[in-house]
Amino acid sequence: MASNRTSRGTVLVVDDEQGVRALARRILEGGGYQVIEAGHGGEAVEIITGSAHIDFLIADLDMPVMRGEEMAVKIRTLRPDMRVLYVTAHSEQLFKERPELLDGEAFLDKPFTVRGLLEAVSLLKTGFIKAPPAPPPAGFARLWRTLTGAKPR
Amino acid sequence: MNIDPVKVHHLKNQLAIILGFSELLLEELAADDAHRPDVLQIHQAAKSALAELPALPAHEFSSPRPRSAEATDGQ
Repeated sequence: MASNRTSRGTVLVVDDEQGVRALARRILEGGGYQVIEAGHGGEAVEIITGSAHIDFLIADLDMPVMRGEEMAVKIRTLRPDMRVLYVTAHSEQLFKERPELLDGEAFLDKPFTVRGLLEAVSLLKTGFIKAPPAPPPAGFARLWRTLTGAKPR
Repeated sequence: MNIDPVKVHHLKNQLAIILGFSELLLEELAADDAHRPDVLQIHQAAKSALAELPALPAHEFSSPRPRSAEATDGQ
């Protein structure tokens, strides 16, 4: 975990796949975030109810025992302000069950790119993509316009 | 292709790991590093394998509901 330096926030990464957690950690720590990992929903709820301060939750949707969405609902009853990024290889499944996400929730398709994950977390945190203010990649265009009211350059 | 969805999910996870770590390596290796072409081969092979799987997800981040965040285009 990154420590003793200015942090952009602490992210709890919940995924039953160790390699995906390790990848998210590498990317997020490189982006200045501190990272805590949980291998399943129960562990994540324990961490949230414990003393750890968590700013954001990155949740895999498809986990055994407790699905990511169920876990997020439990966590948001404890921390209504918790911002949640759902990471899923099956986004259609998420929207089939919930056509609209709540405020403070977003999703990222898996596999994600390094830039994609950092921008998703930045958007969730601040509502805008931190510098460099370059045109967003094609997949971001719709959200970019929604957030900024401007056309991508 | 008719593959068990659970296996597809597992394969996507494994390919996500290969793609992600190879992308990190490509970002970190110097342009003239001797290992760069090898890592690029790994990355491209994983991309190709991913394309063979059914219901390939788009690499995009979006919200299903417009947000009214007071946003700017950076700072």
